[in-house]
Amino acid sequence: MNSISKLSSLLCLLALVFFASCGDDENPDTDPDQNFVVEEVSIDGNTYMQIAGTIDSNYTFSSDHDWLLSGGIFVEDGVTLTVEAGTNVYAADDGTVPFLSILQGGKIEANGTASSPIVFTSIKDITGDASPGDWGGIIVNGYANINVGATAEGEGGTGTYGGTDDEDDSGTIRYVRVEYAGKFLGTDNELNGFSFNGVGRETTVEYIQAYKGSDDGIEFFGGAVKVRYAVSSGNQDDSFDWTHGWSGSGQFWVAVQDGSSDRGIEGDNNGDDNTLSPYSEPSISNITLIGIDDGDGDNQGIKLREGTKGQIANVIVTGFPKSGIQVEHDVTLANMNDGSLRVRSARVDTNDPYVATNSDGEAVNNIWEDDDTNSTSGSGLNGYVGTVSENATNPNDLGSWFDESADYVGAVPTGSDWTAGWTRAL
Amino acid sequence: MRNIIHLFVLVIAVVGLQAQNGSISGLVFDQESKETLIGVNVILEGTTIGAASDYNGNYSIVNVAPGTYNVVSSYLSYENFKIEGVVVRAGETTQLEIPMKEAGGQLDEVIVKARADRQNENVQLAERKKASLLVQNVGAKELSKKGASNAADGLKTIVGMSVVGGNQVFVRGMGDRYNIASLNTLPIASLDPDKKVIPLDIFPTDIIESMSVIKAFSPELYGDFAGGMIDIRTKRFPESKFLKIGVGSTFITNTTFKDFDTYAGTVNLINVGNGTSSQNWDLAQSLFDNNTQLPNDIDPFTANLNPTRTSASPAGSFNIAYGDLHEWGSGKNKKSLGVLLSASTNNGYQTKEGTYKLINNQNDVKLDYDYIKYQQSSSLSGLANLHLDLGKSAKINYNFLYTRLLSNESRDTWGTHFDYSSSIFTRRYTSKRNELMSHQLLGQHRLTERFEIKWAGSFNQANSHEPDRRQLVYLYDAEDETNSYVFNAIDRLDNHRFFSELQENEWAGDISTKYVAAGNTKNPKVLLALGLQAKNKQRNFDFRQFIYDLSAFSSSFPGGVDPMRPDNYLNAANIQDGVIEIEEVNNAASFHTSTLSILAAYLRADLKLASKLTATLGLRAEDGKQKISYRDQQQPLFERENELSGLELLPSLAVKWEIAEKDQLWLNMSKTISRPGFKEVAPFEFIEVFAGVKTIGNPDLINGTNYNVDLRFERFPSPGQLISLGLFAKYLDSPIEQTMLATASGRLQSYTNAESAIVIGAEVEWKKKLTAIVPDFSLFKNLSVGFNASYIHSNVKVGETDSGTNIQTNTERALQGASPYLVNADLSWSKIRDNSRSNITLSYNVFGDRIFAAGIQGLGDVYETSASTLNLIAQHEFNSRWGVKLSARNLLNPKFKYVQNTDTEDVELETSTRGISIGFGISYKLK
Repeated sequence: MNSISKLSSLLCLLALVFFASCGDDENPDTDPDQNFVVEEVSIDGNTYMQIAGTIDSNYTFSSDHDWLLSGGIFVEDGVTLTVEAGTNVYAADDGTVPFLSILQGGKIEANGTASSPIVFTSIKDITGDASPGDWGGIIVNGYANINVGATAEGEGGTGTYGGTDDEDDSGTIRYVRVEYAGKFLGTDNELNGFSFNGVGRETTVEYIQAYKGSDDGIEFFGGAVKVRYAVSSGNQDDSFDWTHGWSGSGQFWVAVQDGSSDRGIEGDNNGDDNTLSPYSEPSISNITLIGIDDGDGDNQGIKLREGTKGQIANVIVTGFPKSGIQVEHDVTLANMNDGSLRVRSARVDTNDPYVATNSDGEAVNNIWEDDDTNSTSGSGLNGYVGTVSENATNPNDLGSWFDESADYVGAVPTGSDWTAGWTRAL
Repeated sequence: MRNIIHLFVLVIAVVGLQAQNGSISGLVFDQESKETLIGVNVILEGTTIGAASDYNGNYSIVNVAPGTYNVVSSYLSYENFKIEGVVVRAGETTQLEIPMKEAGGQLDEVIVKARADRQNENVQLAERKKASLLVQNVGAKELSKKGASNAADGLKTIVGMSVVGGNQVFVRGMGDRYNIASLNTLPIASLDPDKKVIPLDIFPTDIIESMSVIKAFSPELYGDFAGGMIDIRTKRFPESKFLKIGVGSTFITNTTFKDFDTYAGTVNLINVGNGTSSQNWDLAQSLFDNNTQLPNDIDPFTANLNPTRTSASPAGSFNIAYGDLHEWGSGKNKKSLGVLLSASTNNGYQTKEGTYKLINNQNDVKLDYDYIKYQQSSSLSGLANLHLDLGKSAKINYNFLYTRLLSNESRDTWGTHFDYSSSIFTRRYTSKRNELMSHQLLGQHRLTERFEIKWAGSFNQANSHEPDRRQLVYLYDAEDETNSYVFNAIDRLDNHRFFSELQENEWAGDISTKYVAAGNTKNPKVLLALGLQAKNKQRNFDFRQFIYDLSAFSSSFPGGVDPMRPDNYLNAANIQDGVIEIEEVNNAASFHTSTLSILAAYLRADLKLASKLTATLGLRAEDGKQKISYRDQQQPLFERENELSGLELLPSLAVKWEIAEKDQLWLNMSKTISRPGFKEVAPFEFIEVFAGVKTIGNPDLINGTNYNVDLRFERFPSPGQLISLGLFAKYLDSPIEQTMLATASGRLQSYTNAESAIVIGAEVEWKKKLTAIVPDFSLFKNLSVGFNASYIHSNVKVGETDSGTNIQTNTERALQGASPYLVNADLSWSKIRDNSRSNITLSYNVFGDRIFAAGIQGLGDVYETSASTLNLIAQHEFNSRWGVKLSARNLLNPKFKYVQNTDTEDVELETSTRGISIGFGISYKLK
């Protein structure tokens, strides 16, 4: 070894004839201080705490400051980010793609209240001209099961996720609004309002709104997280989306479309192989989906495909020009026919309310059309408020987690509007 | 068309003007030993008329106009021999014996030796026989006979070589990572941000004198290879003054005079354009020079999105070359200055039609498209060679090369996409300008009889620009297309423009010495070589990307749009009205700088163990350092750097046993390395080409180590004839392999050090004149055949990866791009009459099924299936001045197919055809 190092020195000496330097083998990016920067900045006379980089020890976004995110913010394994009730967090307009990503093993404790919600929005909401896609939204990465591989890489380099712990706990997200998210980072890399990537069921997610994002509002990539009281408003792609083995639950979901948009719900198992397990197999009750005709005539209420399973009950679908509830691909059709995929207590008053298509693109029978609990009647909604008790399913039929008092079709009962006060209207 | 008729008339007129000429013939031999010499070039001074001696040492120069000539002969390691005042009379043959004198003390060196005509096949074989390296080569004449149009095309004719995607060369089934390309033995910069080896279609055959492939490592070669080192030698100064001009034209059955889409301001035949409109070119330049943020209320591109539908012209080519040799002094004091200048341009059109599919594990068709590609390419090259020969004390050579390849493609794709109920129509226009400029200075000095020093330096610069790629995606109703087209506003990146630029500068320096330590200089017993080499390259790459946000558009144009006239909608007025918006996709990761510095020292000892047995021991020490500086897209505030460096010791052993005069046996063993590419070790996500596969580097990668063994038997029965049989085996320890990671959406490619790989195989070559088989059968008199074939077995074990989850289905498979068999065969008829020479060659190439992409998530691997190429080339020289060439390429017009193996069937994912091309060329040479 000694002779090699001598030779190396000799070569190094010779190298000096040709090149400027030799031997500086240290990696300059290993300085940990360089990975996280907080500074006070002033925009239009307001002061913000601007942060950039990776949070590697417990940190709090306190409500006595306005916070500004520059670029992607990562919360590392073992670290908790606390966001106080009433805190406003803005995404900078500085040429970066701001997002907040909780890495596997990291936690977010964002506990807002109905009167003091936590708001993540674009700085342009203050400076003017905020629009969908101003920033990347919130990404939570957990250790729960997924079906694309043992672990997977999130959209846009936002972290690794997936594992075998469905009980994993990534913290709490309560009374949190995410506005103008969905920025793209490149092909197949459009971030969502909320991305739940392999998130475990010990995580608490309730009272969340995804408002005017340019991609999906709320998306699940595998995992087992349960989400209730969720509003997806004015998002330009799908309002709710699951894929890659999400086995969680949902109750009280509202989607309202606006301008350019796509599907109310898109539920998939796995596009590369429809039979990969664990299957996407969520249970969801009390849903109201209100679509819009945005010009391409292509919007659908619920599209269930690529092998998904699941139990969906008490759902109102209205306003979608293309179709109401569509089942697609042979594996998904088989799930429908054996009951592992089922929609019941649905009121769908669109064109083609219940349709099914096989893998060759041919129309086949959708058996839910013949289910007595399903109908094609309207629901007499006032905006998204309003429910129908006729033919409703007891939510407890889907599991004990569900609020059984919601024995009605639809998400928001008249006179008990849980969206009031903390959500932003379109 | 009228021009072509004129050409024919001209040709016929020239044929009629032949006068009666004479000839010169005789024997070439060594003055001292009286042994006959094969492959000696005998030329009439001041002309290009000449011939090479055959196996028996006989030469014959026919078609010589009556007069008095000086006859000059040249041969490797012999002094040039000139006989003055040789008289040729009409209809008579002048007999002339040529006694050659071996150059005193000249070392047995082939690399920089100037005189032999390396374009000639016989000389190529003679060089190969004498080489001190295990080499396989092809000269310009063979390239011309087989109809190769560029270096990549020509390399296919060498045993074990294959070309993937038109320009990536594989050596024995091993791709880019395992190969090195050099120009006149010096390194070349690369034009492709993902590739080590420059795309070899940038070198037109017009500039190539010969190409060789060295498949076994020797200490004077850079150690980063296991497949082969491909050396392209450019043409050099001539024996005597000449000026040559050639023109040609090509007709392609499925393209010429048919519909052809292009965009405004593209290249023309004269080839002065930049590949796009000058306005967009200026914009592309300013985007990178100033890195300005574009204002979002104007249209910086002035739309410029309408395609232009024309009809494809026949392809055209033009070349001109001038050379001269000035000599002064005489005898030992003779000195000379040689010059060659040449320029060429080619402009071609090609339409490709095909289908494209994507399936999943249920065999559901996810994408089902038809496509048509209108490809236009235009090359321009200039070459200069200056050679100053001051006798033994100094020979100095300067090479300059500029070569540029512009390619434009307008591609239409239409069909169904799983995520859409409407049909999808995409039109994409891609324009690319690749250019390479190279300066090389090489010198050679004999300081004493026993001691020689050589030096070389080069600087080259490669630029690759993609100015303004444009893509628009439409939804339409396949049942009733009329007025049904609307822009796809959902996938926001679909409608976009893209600009990129790459610049790579590479310096290289080389000093080598040779010393005859024992034995005499003609026949050294111990020859020592010591050398130092250094190279340094820096690469800058940047791209910018803009999208059309059309989310508010469809409500403004509910009646649909006209896909031939997108300028009517995506224009300044609609931007001002807020109907559409142009938005830049900010990506700090788009810009990055990479450097690679290598410093190496080597020692080589050629030991003559017995009169016919030479062993070469070599040791190379190579210190490499590569660095990439970048910012990632997620956290652009922080500048990151990734570095990999290390010293490698690379031993090698070669044994050459000259079993008999015509037979030799080689054994070669070596250790080499494979360095990861710049970005393969950088942990940031990146896409080089728009809509390409995302890639993320792996910072844990280490250099792969390769152990190589080669055994080859060669027999050279007579000039131009060859039989060879080779066996090889390689064990790759920790080879760097591509993986596909599980992701939330789309594809994410990465790299890992796989466990190991093996590559084993056999190669056979055979070149034969048929006269030798059936001497009395007159039909065979002028026929020769060539055949080469290789068998390659490769197996790589990927195993556990060290980062991310690899979702490739097969963890053990063949190397990507490795065909199990490769075959070349040719049949050639040539005839030399008094005044003319003719050659007709039919050549055939076929490759076996090769992996195009590793399958993922349970799906099988995707194979590019076997395809054959058959070319027929006819050349005729009427006399020393006029020549014509007729070519018919791709006569079998096969369907190129990509097939994916699934559990139940083989699904054709992509098919395409290219048409047959018919070309005609004429050349005129002035002495």
